[in-house]
Amino acid sequence: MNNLLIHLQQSQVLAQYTLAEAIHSRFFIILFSCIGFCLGLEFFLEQVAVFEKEATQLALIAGFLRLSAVYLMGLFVISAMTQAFNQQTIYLFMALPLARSTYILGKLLGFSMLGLTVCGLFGLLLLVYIDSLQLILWLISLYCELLLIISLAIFFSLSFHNTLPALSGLIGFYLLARSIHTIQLMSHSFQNSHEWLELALYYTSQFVALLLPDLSRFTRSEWLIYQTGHWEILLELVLQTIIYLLLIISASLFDFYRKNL
Amino acid sequence: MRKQRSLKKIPVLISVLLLCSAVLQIVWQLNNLKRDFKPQPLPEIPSQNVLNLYNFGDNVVAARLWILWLQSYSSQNGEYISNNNINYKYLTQWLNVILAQDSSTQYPLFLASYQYILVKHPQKQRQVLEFIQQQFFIDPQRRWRWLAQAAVTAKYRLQDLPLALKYTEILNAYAPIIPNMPDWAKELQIFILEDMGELAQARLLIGGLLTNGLITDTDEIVFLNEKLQALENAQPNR
Repeated sequence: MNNLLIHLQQSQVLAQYTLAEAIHSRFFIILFSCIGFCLGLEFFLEQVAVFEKEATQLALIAGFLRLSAVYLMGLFVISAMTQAFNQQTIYLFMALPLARSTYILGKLLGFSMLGLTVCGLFGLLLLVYIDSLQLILWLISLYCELLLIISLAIFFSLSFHNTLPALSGLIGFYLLARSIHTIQLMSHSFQNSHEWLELALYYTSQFVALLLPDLSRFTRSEWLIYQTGHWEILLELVLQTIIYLLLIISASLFDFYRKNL
Repeated sequence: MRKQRSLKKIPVLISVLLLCSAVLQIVWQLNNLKRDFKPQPLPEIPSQNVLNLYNFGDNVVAARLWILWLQSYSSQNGEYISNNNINYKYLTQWLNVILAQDSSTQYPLFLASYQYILVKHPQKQRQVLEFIQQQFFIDPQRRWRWLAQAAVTAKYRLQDLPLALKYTEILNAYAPIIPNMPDWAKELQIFILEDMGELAQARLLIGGLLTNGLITDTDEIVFLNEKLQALENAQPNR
């Protein structure tokens, strides 16, 4: 019990350091720049759209905020993690009486709190356009998506120790996870083919779909515009997030424990 | 300690180079703007699957972007492109595919009814009306107003009363399953029939509307009774 308490305290300290790092690396300046850009986008769309103005503004601003949140969190996590390797601060932590799992969980906790702040600020901005349950569903879903991105960014950073391959891996994963449903539907036409290449494509896409979370089901803009979201959908997404988080965190810990630091 | 050194520490040559290159860039871009501008034709539509891949799983956002992009084709580089120069076959395909991606939006139908119909080319106007009719059949409950608009366009812009009559007939045939359709839309057919000189049919239609309970508003019922009387007087031998 005492050990668990110590681990929790250590994780909390690491989380605080991570948040402080975000403040020092001007994360919030970029975040507020995104919000400023959204206000400009709103004005631009006000002039450009000739019909369904509010729906168009809401769709494009929500789409932009979703991408911004993923981009900011992904890039920040990767840069913070690779910096720890490049500046060798990770060796300092490893020299302390600190379990490797505590280090990872502390980092994850800090990044998750940062993700929560991002969702909160973006939610405040969207309150201008929509004031309903749908916004809550959308924000919770965005947070789930960010948690997945954070854990994947940690995983790729631990694997590659370098920004370029880690970021490339993360972007590739994100785009594939958002498109996998379409790819799967497209490959269904090859299901009964006699060409081995088409059959291989079909089975590969089906297999890849098993390994990825279907991110096209997360954070749907139509919830905000057409009020189509409901708690059952969100529950499925939360369960998917928990399962995939467990998978990625355990993979990261597995990789991290094998490293000879 | 100051974070940055004084401006005096920068060699003059570098300051001059910075200034000159900035001016050069602006002049270069100004020169580019003056080049002869040729409007880009509307491209042929890629397959639905390829479009879905571009959407990255969020069809609603993508549909809004596609429609703004399509709308921008009418105004390129600050110049207005006449609808006559737009390929309407590709245009209706684009509108169709955008509606397939976001079936709840009315934006493509609005553009078709109010922007793309404004073309001095009857064939192109008919292509737009055909598109609206097809879209009505996909979702009559939400798209009836555009077919009503199409009937008005066929009557006044194309002067094609049989086509207008066809659209109003479709509207009235679907009226029982469209609860939010206002009475004026159900009555459009009467005026088209009257314009065509089909007074007997117009009277029959009014009788039908009054007896089958499709018109419930008392003012509208009074109006239809007066209209029926006027039609009776116009054709006293019947």
